Amino acid sequence: MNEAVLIATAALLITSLLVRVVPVFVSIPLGAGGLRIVGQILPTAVFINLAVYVAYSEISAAPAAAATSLLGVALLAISGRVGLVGSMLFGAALYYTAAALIG
Amino acid sequence: MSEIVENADPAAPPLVTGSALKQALPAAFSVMPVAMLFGVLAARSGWSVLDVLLLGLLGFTGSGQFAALPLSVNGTGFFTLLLVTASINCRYLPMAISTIRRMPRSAFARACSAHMLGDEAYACERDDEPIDRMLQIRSAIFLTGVLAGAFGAAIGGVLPEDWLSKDFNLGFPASAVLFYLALSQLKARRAHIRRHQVAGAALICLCAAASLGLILALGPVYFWIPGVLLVALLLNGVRA
Repeated sequence: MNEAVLIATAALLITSLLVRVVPVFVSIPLGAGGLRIVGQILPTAVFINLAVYVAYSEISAAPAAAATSLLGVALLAISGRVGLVGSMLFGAALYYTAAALIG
Repeated sequence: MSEIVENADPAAPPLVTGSALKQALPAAFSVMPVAMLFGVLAARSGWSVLDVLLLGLLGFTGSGQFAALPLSVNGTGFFTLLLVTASINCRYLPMAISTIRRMPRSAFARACSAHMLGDEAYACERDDEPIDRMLQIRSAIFLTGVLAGAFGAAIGGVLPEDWLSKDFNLGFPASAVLFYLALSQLKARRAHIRRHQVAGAALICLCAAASLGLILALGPVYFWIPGVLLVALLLNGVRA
């Protein structure tokens, strides 16, 4: 194992400790309002940012293919008629087909 | 017992049960190509299977791994690497904080489950997820990612240089899964945001616009914490 691997592994391990492990050991007394923010508002805020981030990243790389595919996935997610696997397969097929056709 | 998929000790709780596996499997499958791609790229950079396995186990961070690989190969120092990977992965901070209530009490189990937290696991879990199922979902996705990375490293040396076009986006299925899960979670939470459906949808669109504005202003790495805080403020302000 060379030094570069060790440095990268150490940096990623400490990153994980800082952003994932330490926060779950920090005890902050929360009232009813704080619990609502941590339990409902914060996760909703994370999911909105996650959805926007995914859409932005993919549409930046392949605008037409990603926009078409993610629109299809969004419609399936909102309708709830097709499950996760079906939606992923549909979205991926749409994306790769559109990317191949558009170039 | 029919639900038990993998369990060495019959007295111990199952590592992965059928129902948790069913819940985690699509997301676990979606991370496989991305993790394998990382393994292939790492092998091309001279990393061994053991290196990739160790990095996966200790530094499982998805995009952080992809950022760390070229930087470390180019001889970047520890603190620069730490700054870059911590910036990329700061999105886990609000995720970790919002899952404190469903964490195990044991310090070791708590630390392990927090370390295994990923975008896909977070999006798969429900608010009322029992501790056992939460651990099963996270460990299924985590182990799939780690093992797929090691497999990628194992085949990385065998594949020809031009095995995949540089324009081919292998990570799209993972993005599609994350997008679907995030929207499904928002759909389920819409009632908590606003009682009226149209008003709830409008508020989510407003928040998405604010988030996009921050991505455009700060970039896709540094927008996370301001983005989550701004959207939380908007949601909380409208609720209040």
